[in-house]
Amino acid sequence: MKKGPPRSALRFLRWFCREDYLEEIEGDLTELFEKQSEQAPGKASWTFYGRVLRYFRPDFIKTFKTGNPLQYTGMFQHYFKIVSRQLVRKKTFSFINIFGLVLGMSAFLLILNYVVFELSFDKFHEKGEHIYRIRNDHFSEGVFEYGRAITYRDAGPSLKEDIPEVLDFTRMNGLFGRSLSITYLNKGGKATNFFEENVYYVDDNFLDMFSFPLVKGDAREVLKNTNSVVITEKIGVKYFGAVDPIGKLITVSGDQSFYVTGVLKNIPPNSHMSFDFLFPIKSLPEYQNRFAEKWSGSGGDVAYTYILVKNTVDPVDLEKKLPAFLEKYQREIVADAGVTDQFILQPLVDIHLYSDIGFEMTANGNSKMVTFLMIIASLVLLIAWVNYINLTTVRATERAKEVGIRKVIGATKGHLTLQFLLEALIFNVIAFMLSIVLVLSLFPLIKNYTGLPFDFLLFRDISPGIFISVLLAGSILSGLYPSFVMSSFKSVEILKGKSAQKLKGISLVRGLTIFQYAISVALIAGTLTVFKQVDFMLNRDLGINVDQVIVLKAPQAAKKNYASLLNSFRTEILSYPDFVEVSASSEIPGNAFNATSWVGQPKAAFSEFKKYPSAWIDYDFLPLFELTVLKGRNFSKDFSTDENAVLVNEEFIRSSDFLSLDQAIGQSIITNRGDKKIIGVVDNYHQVSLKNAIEPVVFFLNSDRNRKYLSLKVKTTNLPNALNLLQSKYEVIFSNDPFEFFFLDNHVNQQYQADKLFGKTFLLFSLLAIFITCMGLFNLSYITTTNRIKEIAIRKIVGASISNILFLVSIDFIKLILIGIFIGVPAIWWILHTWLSNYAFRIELSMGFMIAPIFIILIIAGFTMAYHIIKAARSNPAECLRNE
Amino acid sequence: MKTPSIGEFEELVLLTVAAQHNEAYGVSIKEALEETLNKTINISAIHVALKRMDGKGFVTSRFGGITQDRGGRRKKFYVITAFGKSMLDQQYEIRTRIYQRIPNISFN
Repeated sequence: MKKGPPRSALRFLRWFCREDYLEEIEGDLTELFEKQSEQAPGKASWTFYGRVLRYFRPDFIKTFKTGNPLQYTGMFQHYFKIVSRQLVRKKTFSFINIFGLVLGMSAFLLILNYVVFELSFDKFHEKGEHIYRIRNDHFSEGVFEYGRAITYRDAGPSLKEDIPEVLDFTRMNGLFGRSLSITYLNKGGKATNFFEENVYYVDDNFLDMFSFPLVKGDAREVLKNTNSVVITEKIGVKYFGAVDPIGKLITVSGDQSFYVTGVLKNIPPNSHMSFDFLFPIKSLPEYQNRFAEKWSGSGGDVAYTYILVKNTVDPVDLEKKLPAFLEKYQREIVADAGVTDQFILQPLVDIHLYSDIGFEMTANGNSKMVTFLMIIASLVLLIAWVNYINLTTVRATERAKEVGIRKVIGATKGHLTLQFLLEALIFNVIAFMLSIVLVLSLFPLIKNYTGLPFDFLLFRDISPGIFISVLLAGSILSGLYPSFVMSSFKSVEILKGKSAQKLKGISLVRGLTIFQYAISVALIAGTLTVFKQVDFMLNRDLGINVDQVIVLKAPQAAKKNYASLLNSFRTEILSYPDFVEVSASSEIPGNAFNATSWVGQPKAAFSEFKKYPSAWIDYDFLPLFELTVLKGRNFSKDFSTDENAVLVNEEFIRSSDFLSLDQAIGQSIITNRGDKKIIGVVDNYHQVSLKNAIEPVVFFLNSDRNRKYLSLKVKTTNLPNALNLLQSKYEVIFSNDPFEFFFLDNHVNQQYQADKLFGKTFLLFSLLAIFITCMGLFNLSYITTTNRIKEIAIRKIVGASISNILFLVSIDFIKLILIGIFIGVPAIWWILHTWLSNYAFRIELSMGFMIAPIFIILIIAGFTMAYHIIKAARSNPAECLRNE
Repeated sequence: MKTPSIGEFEELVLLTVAAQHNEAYGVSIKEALEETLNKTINISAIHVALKRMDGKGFVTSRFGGITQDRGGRRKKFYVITAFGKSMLDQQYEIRTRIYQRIPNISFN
């Protein structure tokens, strides 16, 4: 028998070769093989393989499966056409579907933008990756006391000297709530005054380490001289207008001269440090010498310290070296009092979101809040997608005939799935484009409303690939289930006319509806609770009266004769009936206590001393703020010994282990500010936000420290007049100091800004969620009633009333909503409980908070459904039964 | 439309198709060319050339009858078209004309 060519080679050839060429090629190859095998049988097979392989080239390879590309673009065109017809024909359906998606996506994009902004903090520093801030944790007898963002002023230089991995350090010394009186000559040559708070004293390499760009001046040189100052563009304009500020003279506190050597670009909003002035740290006397103070928490920890480490250094390894380093400088103190510190390295880029310790430069963000917002936004987006799934699935029966015909013509399940996925993609893309338009046009409004300083960063920081993949994922997620349902219709049954096919895939729709309502009810309950809590904090009796109080920033320039000037100011201003009370103090309500004092009972060992927040007040502080004295008395001018007396608050008594309320008066205590005697116990009041517990406080009488604020109680019907009067008197007596004031009640309420914003965000999202959910329900009830229209008609004929029908149809939905509520309520209960536990003073979570949202949901849902159901129930039964 | 051009190898194949008028198919062309050029030629190269010239309209093809040989596969015979012939004539004329312009060069 004649031996044929190798089968495997033939099979391969037949697999890849174009059908119209195959016969010829196979024939020619076989002929050649036959001829060759007569001469060299062994070699023939190999040659055959070789020849076959040579045909494996584009000229001969058939187009696989994808076949003729024209046919497929045609199919796609057809799908597009069908979708656009669907869009136009079912206007309400399409509108609701797309509108829901637009709302969900817009909310998501806005939040995403905020999140991107929060994540972009401090990423602009070129060396940022290798910069760490020293966090100083303080321990007493091994017990953690507090962590601070500031540390000892010598820590920076010593770290650089002792630890080779530390390449460089830079320090910042702030004003800690004080303000600096700055004088300069304005255009007309007149001396002008401003109080500035955003001021830091920094090392000369500060601008080298951090990448804050300079408009004018060289980063390495501008801070070299102790009489130089760097300002921001904003301040340049404020002070000197269009004139070049370089070389201009400014005077600080009336006697120190500085020349402007550099102008910084304004500090970007996504920086955890923000400043208007940078003075050389060496201009502060305490920074001119090293090791002037012991390293212990009782003072000297004043400098924000940033270190630059070698590229290769692992911060964990570096941190391990720090205890030994601290030991070296703190040994004495440890032996004395058991005070120990710990240094922790905070990566620069993590400070904004992950650090919340004492003396943060600016209010930091909160990584939990960012996550939380992201979750809420994703939920709203998910609800919108769920709407799409529900509506499309329920509408499937309407398109059953289309599916049937397609199947008969030859569409496979794959084709149908592709078609409906494509539909989902088109809906999503349209919604995405619209939501981008919406977000861009709403953005300025939202920025205003929230008062957040961020910019539109979405298209800068997120690559389009991410948008596209999320969009694709969303389309597949929302399109897959409906397309499965639709492609699984049995064409024969549909075409036989069994039109009222049983609603398929309804169980998933039910499940998803439950999910939507669970989220909605949770969001409503959340909104109510947040609003209640904010309201509670704003209206709670603080134990202190901050109404009708004007606060002035106390004069700084007057130094030696401050006390007498203050006295004449007080006498002068109180001679007018508009002003009732004047008090100078180191603290005002709404600000956390800045200073602390060590306090212990007489003969206490050093280790028994504790740190207490301290305030310096005068005789009029208590009456002005209407604070009650529980025991003893206020400071009084009648007792000359009051210089050595203190007032304490009730919390102080409670937290101390050697005092009781009854025996406190007359007790002696030892402080690092001298031996004092307790003369009175003040009722507790809220110094700061109700988020914080009431702290124990020691009030000292007049000292230089009470020159931070002047509070004035006003009683007037003509406030502008009173303010003018106040300003003129102030400017006469404190001629070298600027007049700056604010209203204390505003100041106190400002602490709740973040909570209010949180409430507003919550409200916005719950409104969105409910709105989208109800739009879904609106359509769902429409489709259900149309599907059951014959049933409704027959029921009417046999005597059902409209209310019977209303009940019959809506009970299905009500059941789902109720299940949703029973899932949502416990979940939100738990979440709110956790949230409220952040607040020292909070509302009690009660069932009432849950019942209101349940009713809100049920009422809204009821009205939404009622429209279509009543419409169906009132229709003439003959109309729909006629064409059977 | 651009007038189709012809490559060198394609021209050789086309010449062979014309020479073996009505009887030219893959293997016969291969053998004839191998004999004339005195070198091995890939059958696939010939097929490529034939398909391309088919596309350009220089040749047409028809199937032969089924025989016991070739694994029962029919031969595909190629015939030069008038268009193909005119192309060959043109090529021939161009070459001859240029050739005739060559002066009598002495290579001593």
